[in-house]
Amino acid sequence: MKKPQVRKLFAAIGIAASLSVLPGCAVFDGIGKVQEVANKPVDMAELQKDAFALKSIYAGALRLGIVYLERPRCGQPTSPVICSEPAIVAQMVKARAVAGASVESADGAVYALGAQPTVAQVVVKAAQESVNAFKLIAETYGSK
Amino acid sequence: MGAAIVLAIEVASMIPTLIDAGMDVYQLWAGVKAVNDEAGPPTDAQRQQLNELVKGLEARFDAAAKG
Repeated sequence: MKKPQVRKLFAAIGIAASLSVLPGCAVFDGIGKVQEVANKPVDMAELQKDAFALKSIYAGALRLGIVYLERPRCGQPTSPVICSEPAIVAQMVKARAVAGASVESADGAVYALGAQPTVAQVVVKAAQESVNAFKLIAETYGSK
Repeated sequence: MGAAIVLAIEVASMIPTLIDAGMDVYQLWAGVKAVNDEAGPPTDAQRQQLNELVKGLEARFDAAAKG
């Protein structure tokens, strides 16, 4: 094989190798980040702030929910045009119950003596999801 | 940016809607300021104020749900 052909061959092998390795690097990078997050010590003060902010969002969602719930119920002969649907009311009540309980759990988990930070982190994350679900319903119907 | 500050921004973004809904947002705004990145964890007084606000709202929510 002549020298230029050898060079081309090595260049091709190099390009192929880098193409096949790059996505692999991205995967390793992703795994590295997951490990980094997993190994990062959980800051209890940050979790306490998170729980506090979540409770504030929950308070705001409650207020918007009240706007909707205080309207007369729909489906009655005397119901006005702007009214609250019983099905939505039921959905809102369920979402509020879950969000309220999870916010209290998060508050308890981040202030409990001897609480495991990783457990508290999971409880706060779960509370965030249920508060978001309640906020979504409350904002959708309460801010109209 | 910490999770707390992201949540605080979320609370702040709700404030105009809450004012429209007739809420006295002073306490919520205090909550937003309390969880900024530089601040330490909320004080007992701040927590107590927020707890009282939530309890009042929950009672009103539950009463309104009963119709």
